[in-house]
Amino acid sequence: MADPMTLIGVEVPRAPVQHFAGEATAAGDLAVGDVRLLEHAVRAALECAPPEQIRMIVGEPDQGVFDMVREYGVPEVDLGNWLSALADAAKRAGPRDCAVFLRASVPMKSYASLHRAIDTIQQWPELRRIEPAFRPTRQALSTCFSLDRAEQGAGIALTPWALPTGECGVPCPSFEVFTLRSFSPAHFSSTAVDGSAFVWIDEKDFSLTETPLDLLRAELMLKEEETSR
Amino acid sequence: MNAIPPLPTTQSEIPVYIILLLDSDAHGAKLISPAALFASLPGGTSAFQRTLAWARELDGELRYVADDRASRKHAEQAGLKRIEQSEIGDSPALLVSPAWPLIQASDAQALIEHATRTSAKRIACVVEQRHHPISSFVASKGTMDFSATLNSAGWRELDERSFFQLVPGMAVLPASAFAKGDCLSDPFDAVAELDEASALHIGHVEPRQVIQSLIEREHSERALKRKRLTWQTP
Repeated sequence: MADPMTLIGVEVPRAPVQHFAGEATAAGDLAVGDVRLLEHAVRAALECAPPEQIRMIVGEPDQGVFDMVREYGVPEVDLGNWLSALADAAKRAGPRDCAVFLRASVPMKSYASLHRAIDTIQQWPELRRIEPAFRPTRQALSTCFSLDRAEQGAGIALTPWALPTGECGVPCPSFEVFTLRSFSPAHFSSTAVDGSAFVWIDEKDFSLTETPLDLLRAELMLKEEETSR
Repeated sequence: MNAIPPLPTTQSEIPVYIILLLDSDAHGAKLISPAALFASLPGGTSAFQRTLAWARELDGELRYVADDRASRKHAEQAGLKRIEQSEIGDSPALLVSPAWPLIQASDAQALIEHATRTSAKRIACVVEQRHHPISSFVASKGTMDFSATLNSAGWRELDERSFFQLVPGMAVLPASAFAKGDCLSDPFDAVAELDEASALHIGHVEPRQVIQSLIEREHSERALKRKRLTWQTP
């Protein structure tokens, strides 16, 4: 039996990230510390699949993206064409083939959970989608409360939100893995849906890049990863 | 987001007490250990010294509260007076815990001014919850179960609401409330929103490295891109 195929789309960081960082850096060159986010994700993808099965999903290609094409042999593509290519590939896909959507703007310390998710979906073809998830500890859900911004005057009660019974988690947007055969743009575009499988990760194993504090966390996380190699 | 409302021009004569919380569980502002407040942070200062430096610049009477001998000794060495409930009466009290070493002096000053010039007697500080509960799931046999929120009748209302965490490191309360054990659980008159860095607690799961880097970069432009305190209510 042929080895299962893994197609990976690496989403190049988008403009809002650059805007918040306050630097006129092209998306392909956006870096935290000394680590270029796109390169970090492309390297992770190359550990899971050969370059011809990987695409960088771009809005507007820039010099940083072109450099990556030259250095790693991973071509760029726009989102629409990547989805079309996946839909075509889905028609002739084997039961263990899968597709990965990897967001370079949400770097992970190590991509061991991505390998775990790919292995899992290849072993259990009845699963259609796997994504990472974490238990929020910096801001525990059990201590959050809602507040109506229009609320007036005295008597603002900080009533905790009633958590549902059971172990609660939050999806991490770093990546999603789909079985290729069941792939359709509808699955791709949906947010986390009931019944998706997940792999637990630690909150410290990834970082968003939305706020200055996020960028600092990402920088420290990647520096720590580099040191530990 | 509401802007800070216009303030009356007449300065109130009410004295404001600034109370440094050095207790291990000071009125809901939980610490891991008071000793951590006096341990050196990057740059050689402790969380206590950092807070004390800006608290001394505020318009108010500085006091401390501590339940262990070592903390009292540190406070007295710094020339601080201990709080006496009979002394402060019902004056507004700004409670500050050094366990949140990145709280900004400008935010504390804005709270004091708000308390002295408006009718707000109880002001809480909050930080926006980054993980909205609508996106949370219950782990069910290895799969995500979103039904608790998405299948509930009020999910759209839940989706549209903003969620916050209380930052117990800073609040304004009348002295009578301060005398209570847990004074942060009662309703508030106003809520002020802090930025995420101000909500970092020295004992939280956040790596100590993050606080260290923020302190080291305090004067760099990027690290200081922090929100000004904003008010949730008039």
